[in-house]
Amino acid sequence: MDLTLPKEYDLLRHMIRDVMENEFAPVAEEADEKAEVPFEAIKVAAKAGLFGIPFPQEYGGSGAGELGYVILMEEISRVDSAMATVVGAHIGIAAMAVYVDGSRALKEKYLTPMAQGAKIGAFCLTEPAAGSDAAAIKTRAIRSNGNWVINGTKIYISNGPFADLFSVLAVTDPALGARGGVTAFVVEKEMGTKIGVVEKKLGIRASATSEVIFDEVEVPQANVIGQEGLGFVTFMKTLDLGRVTVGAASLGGAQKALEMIIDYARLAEKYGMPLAHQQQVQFMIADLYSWNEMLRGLVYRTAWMVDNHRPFAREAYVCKLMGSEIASKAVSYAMEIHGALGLSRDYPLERAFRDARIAEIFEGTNEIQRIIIARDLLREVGVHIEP
Amino acid sequence: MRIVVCIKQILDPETIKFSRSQQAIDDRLATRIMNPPDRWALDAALRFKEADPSIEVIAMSLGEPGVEDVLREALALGCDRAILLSDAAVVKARAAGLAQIVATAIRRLRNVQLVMTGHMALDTGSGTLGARLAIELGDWPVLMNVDQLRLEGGHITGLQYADEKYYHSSYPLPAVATVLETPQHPRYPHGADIINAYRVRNVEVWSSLALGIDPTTLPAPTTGRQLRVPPARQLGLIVEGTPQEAAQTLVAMLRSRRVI
Amino acid sequence: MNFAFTEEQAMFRDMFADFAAKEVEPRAEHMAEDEEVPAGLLKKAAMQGFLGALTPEDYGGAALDPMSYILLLEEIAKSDMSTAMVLHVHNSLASQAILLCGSEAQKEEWLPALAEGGAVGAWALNEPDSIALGSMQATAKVDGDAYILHGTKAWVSNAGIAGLYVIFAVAPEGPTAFLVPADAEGLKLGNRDKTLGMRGVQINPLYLNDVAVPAESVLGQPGGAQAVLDQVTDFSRLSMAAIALGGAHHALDLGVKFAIDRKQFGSEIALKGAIQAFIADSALEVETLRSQIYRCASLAEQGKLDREAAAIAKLWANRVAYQVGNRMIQTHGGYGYILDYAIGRVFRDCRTIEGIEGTNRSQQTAIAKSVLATHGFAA
Repeated sequence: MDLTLPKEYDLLRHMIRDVMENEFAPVAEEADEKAEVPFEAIKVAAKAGLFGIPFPQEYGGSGAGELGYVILMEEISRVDSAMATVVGAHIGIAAMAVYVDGSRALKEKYLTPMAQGAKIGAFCLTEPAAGSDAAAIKTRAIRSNGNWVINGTKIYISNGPFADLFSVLAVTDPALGARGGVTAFVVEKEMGTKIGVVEKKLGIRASATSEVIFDEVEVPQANVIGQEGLGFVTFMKTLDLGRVTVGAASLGGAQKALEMIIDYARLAEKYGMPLAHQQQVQFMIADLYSWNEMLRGLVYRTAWMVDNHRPFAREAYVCKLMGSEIASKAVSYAMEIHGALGLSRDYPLERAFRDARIAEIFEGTNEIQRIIIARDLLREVGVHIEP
Repeated sequence: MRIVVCIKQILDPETIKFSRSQQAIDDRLATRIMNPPDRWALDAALRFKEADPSIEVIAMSLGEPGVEDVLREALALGCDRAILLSDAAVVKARAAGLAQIVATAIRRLRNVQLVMTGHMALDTGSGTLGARLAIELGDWPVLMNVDQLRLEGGHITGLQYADEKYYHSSYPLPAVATVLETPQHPRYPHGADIINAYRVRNVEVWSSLALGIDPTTLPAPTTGRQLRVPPARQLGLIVEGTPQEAAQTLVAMLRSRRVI
Repeated sequence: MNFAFTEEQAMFRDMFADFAAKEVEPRAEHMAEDEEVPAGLLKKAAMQGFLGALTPEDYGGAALDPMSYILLLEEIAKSDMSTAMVLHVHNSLASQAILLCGSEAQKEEWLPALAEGGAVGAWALNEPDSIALGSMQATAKVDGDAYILHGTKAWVSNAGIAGLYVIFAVAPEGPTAFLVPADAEGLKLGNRDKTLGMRGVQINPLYLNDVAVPAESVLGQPGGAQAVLDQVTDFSRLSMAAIALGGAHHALDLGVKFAIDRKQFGSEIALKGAIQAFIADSALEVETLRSQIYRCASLAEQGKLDREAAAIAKLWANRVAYQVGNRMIQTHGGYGYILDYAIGRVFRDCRTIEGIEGTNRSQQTAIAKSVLATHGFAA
């Protein structure tokens, strides 16, 4: 059992950290305050191949697999969680949906420009009545002259306002519903998608979230991802992969929080000595380090399972669940230790606190993660539960 | 034409710790990186290649097998070849011997018109490799500490920094240039090139034997006798009072200690 | 033992709730966005007597009993924690300090003005590297009949709108509190501190560039800053806890309403066990916090509020506000993260409580010290 990372991954991490610290760190605070996406930095990241890390080189990617992708998300989040959302939405789910089930031709046409960062993707699943209950979607695709016409509204779509390509789930046969009646499509912006309300958010403000409206949008048959009627499966497989990287992003955020705590505890004095000498602070540091190491083991093992074609869905849920909660806890501890300084918007912790909160909510709330993990385990002993 | 860029692997200064109790450098947690000035030199060489694709850029380093990692990084950044000069004799060589070995390797490559390297190694603070190489290569001209390099009409020109001034310098090729860091960040390698640098591409390993070097003829290697970590700095003295009072007190103190 | 409010207290509470619903709630989101509590709202609060809440009628105040005052903060905080915080700094710190420690002349000079809203009170105790009197750097040098204040104060709440600052500085006699009008020469406001939550509260650094103040502006005795703090700290912690209570109550309210409206998997999420656990745990915490705070208010009425009880209230308030805010934003799911819903703001505000006037660590220390002392152990 060799748990050392192949050396190319060290260099990959080094490069990504370099890009994040040089291009994103200097603009992150202002981007958050103004709620603007840092497109200039994104261009540099695209040029360095950051948007194609997991995908095969034949589709413009780096060929670094899920392991490379985990490293990417960890390093991005160390510096800028909002960017982890932009990248996660773009490659982790939008492009990933094309990758997991798209035909060779569809991949060449759409995955390649997304991997190169020439086009940015958005993943359109959530609807007003279909949040955690994804099977309840209403967006409809109807066949017409060999094409499909899509009508419906998707909400809370990360990258929605500036995406070029949309991976969209729509009902093609209401009688069958999620079991064979839902199909996934790639839709180009030029086909007539419209942007609705752009949301103001509590955190990850340098990412952009909006409604995406499909009003008689005509999509060619060739743009169906995978098999007609099996879109729900495609999207769920995609989300499984996405969950691993929510864990990875959380790991990066938690690691950064721990570093900030240690740094502050070393320097800040209270009652005449550094905070580091207080046992309460020491225990926080020790607990946090322990959780981070557990999370690291979990996330990297799950990435290995993905790359080695082992079933990983249950571990992916655990990655998302534990990762997001450990990251929140880490930032929360950091806030507690920093006192008033942690409340200041001139200090990066305040942004980290708001940003970290999304991970417990998006890509399926943690309640849903728990329900599914439990359902999965209980099913093995013959107990069937409903959410 | 060929450009050789000499690259050193160093311990990242930010990750090195000094152990006072052991009087030694504690590098257990240190990471190894490409000497940053060398990365700028490489960046300048790769810009020449971009302008003229017929140029072949070859990265060269010297040392233990682990040094290979910086050469793979150089490959990822866009070098055509990477050569590691490595065997027991080579590893022990320092400064003068090192220049002899590298110069031998460069001569072996043929048609090398330009040798580039960083203006100094950030670990030892030494910046003599360029000049030593120029001598070993047969008194090639050398541009020390240059920025804004250009290749034109068989000449290498650049802005040379010396004695706190900048000079325009231009020399005919073949030449050696030691490159300054500039505010502009050097290029990032592409993710795919990083993966390929390890999975597809090769680092050539040349031994002294292959280069026809007799290790016994090399200048004696430098040997370390003792390493001492400087004592912890004591807290200085803050001279209190109005500026005038403070100045008077300070002058009196300096006088009493015969500093002035 | 009687846990019921007096008729008067019940009437006041309804009146406060009414004011909060009519005047505060509709402006709450704007105040967070504009990062200020508008002067117009404070004027209305002054007309209701809220700016002289604890001040005796002789000085133009409303002379509320401590319980009613706690209810005021709780009810206002249920709509907007920033507004409650502005009232808190003004009443529980500035006015209280003058009332309890000031000379008759100081009371006459300042209390009516503070009560009418002619001057808002601010509290300048913290410094960039100090949150305690012992490590304070700002100085007050004697110059004839005057003191010259010099130094930098940090995190001064209400700084941007204040007419009066209570400024702490080290005089030859020791740390001393001074009453300094905002127009005193040499007083300079630094750039606004932008904060996570309670964004309506204007917090700035305050630079003391050789501010000359007459000896009569010393609050209490020269060297008597600790005595001033001893007079106000416990009640101030209690009133911060009351703001947290209002915030936590508000969060729970928002979460419950959302859970009743929101349907997933064919039913209201309010019917799901996980959400009910959130609601139950939050209600448990809010109600126990309320009990502790009302008990403390009752102790304060009897003049018996002690360090331990107040620190317990503040520590529990820190935790409850955060935990309830956290569960209720989670109950909202994605909607919680969108600023169209009030829970996002309340969540930010709830988290901010902890960093102000006593972190968890300092409350723990105070409580442990007191508990250990009852066992005859001096920590």
